[in-house]
Amino acid sequence: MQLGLIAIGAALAIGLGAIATGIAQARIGSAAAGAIAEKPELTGRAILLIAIPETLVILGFAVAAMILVLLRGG
Amino acid sequence: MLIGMTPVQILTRLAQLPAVIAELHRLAAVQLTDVAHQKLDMTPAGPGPGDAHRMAGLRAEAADLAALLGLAEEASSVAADKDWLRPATVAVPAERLGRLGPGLGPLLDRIGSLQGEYETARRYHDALALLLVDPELSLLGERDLTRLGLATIVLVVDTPDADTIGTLRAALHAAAGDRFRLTAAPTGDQTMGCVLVAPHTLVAELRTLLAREHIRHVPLPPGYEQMSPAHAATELGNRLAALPDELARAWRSLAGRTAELAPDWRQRWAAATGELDCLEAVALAGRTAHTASLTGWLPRRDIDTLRTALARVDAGVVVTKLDAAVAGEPPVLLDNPPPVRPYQRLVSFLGLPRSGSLDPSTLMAAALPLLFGVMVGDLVYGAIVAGLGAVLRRRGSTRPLVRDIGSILLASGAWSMLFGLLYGEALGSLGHKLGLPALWFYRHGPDELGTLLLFALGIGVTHILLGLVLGMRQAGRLRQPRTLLERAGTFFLLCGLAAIAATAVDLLPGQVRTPAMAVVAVMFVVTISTRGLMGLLTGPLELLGSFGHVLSYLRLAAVGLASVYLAEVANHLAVSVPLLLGVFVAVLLHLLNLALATFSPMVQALRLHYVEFFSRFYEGGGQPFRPFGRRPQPSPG
Repeated sequence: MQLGLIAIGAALAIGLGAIATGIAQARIGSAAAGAIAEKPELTGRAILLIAIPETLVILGFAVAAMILVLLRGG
Repeated sequence: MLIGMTPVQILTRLAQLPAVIAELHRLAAVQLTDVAHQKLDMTPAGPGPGDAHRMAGLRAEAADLAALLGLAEEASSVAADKDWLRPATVAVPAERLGRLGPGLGPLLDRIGSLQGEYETARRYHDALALLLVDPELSLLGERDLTRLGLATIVLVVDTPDADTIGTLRAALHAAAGDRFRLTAAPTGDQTMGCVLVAPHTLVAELRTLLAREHIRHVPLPPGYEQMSPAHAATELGNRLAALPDELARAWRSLAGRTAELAPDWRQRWAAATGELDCLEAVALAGRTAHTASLTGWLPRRDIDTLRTALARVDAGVVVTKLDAAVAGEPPVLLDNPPPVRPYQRLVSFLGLPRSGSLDPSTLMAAALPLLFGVMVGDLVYGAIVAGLGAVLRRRGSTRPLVRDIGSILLASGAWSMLFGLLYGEALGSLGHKLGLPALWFYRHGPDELGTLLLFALGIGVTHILLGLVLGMRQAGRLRQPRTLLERAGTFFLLCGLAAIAATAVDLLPGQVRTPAMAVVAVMFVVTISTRGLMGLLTGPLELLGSFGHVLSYLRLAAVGLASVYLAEVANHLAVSVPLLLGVFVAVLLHLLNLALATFSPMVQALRLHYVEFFSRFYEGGGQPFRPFGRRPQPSPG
């Protein structure tokens, strides 16, 4: 039971971060696609901007890892 | 690295100005600037009488030649791709086309006419194929039509709206009662095909009706109008089969003709743009009664070469250095050794570094493949990526972009193999299960997550501290003491935080914690104080950002683990189904994982450079060095 709750907690930490990243990337991605269509030289910056919200899911991963390492270990 | 640039003034006798400009054009070593901007006591040389007219003519000729060279490329590409229906056009007026490309006009007309015929024939053939399902129509021959005094009219109407056909039917009924038969069916998203069988006497009336009702339609090609529908369909089918060969012959003739003319066009384009450049350069020059002057930027290392070359034109030419402080922002020229050049391209994605700042291409060449390797960390995947890179490098001998991608993949694949050995991974956990030992730690292991996270954070701290050191160096060079102090404060603050974290996981003894906390406290105050009053608000946010940047390196662990788990899924599925299916599934999933493992870690490694690393020191906004006389290859339009 406790292990299951730990797993759900870790999944929520990374899953919610991933959803938020997806929402942000969808908006940035559509704007970036428009910008690239006008100015192909912006491709590099567009990739960069699209990759920025991934920090959310990375932080989610950090929290999930902490939950798994600290709670399961404890 | 950034090549040091120097502003120069070139003084010559007025009469020698054209010869000096011509030599500068040949050398292609100096980026000319407008003398008027250099505060020299000279009047602008300006264009000579008739120069403006000549320049307009040269511009038009260069544009025409570029368009023709584009046509030559297009024709050769169509011949290679066998894409015979690609439009054959060139934006050159007919009179000039006849002069620059004799024989091309009729060839282009021929291709256009064949393509038009093909398009019309295809539409009617498709329409008839649908409509001839009606047995009465399909059995109706020319003799029957003549005997009964009937005519058939085939139409493809440009509308998807069935109401149009209803209107047509009602109008025909009003004109001819029941003495007609109209069959219609949609033949495309935007078209309706119709076959009308009616007495000859109604044909003229029908045409008037179509015009009156503004029904847009494509007429059946001449020669088919007198045929029965079935005969017309057969003939159109035969024509459709023959047209691609005719188009292929016409395109090949065009490709052959343009290939013959292209060397001459290229030569004439170079001559026209060269002359145009020289005339435009005169407008940048300044003059006195007897002398003329040009100013510009050139790499510092090339100044003696320039003096020697210009002395050959006129012994009286003087090249002097101008004061860099008043010459404006220097242009930027990057020149790195061949192994680093592919990464120079990646740095340029953010815009060129400003003159006087740092070119991080070399650092990127060292760190980007390493970060990629940390994430992928698989012996087999690494070998495939490296192999792909080697192939691209070999195939890209004439295409620099492909060669550069190959070089980056080769280095990244090599690092992935190395980390594959350190992690003991080959095709995910398969290598480990088959006995491949982990030389350092097995990151998929149940107790190794902490080690992996610490490793990722360690790389992050090191990378960001390196960025801060470079930032301090740059602030020192640019004499920005406040920025220097702020970066130094952040540097020591991060060092202190890293030391505290290290004591928490027993990497450093506990005694270090107190001095480390003192360093953090002092440096926190120092960093905030460099920003003045606003620092009270922005300072903590900035420091939080720095901390977030370090945490961002956890993606090295996250992306790597995602790849390992996907490989694990592939391996599990492979053994849980029959052998052949298992092999198929495993290959498919590993290929998918490999594609993800090539793309995602590369984007993440780039992001870590652009956002986390470069933000510590990089100053973009440099203007590229564009030497006079070096033009890009002609491009149509």
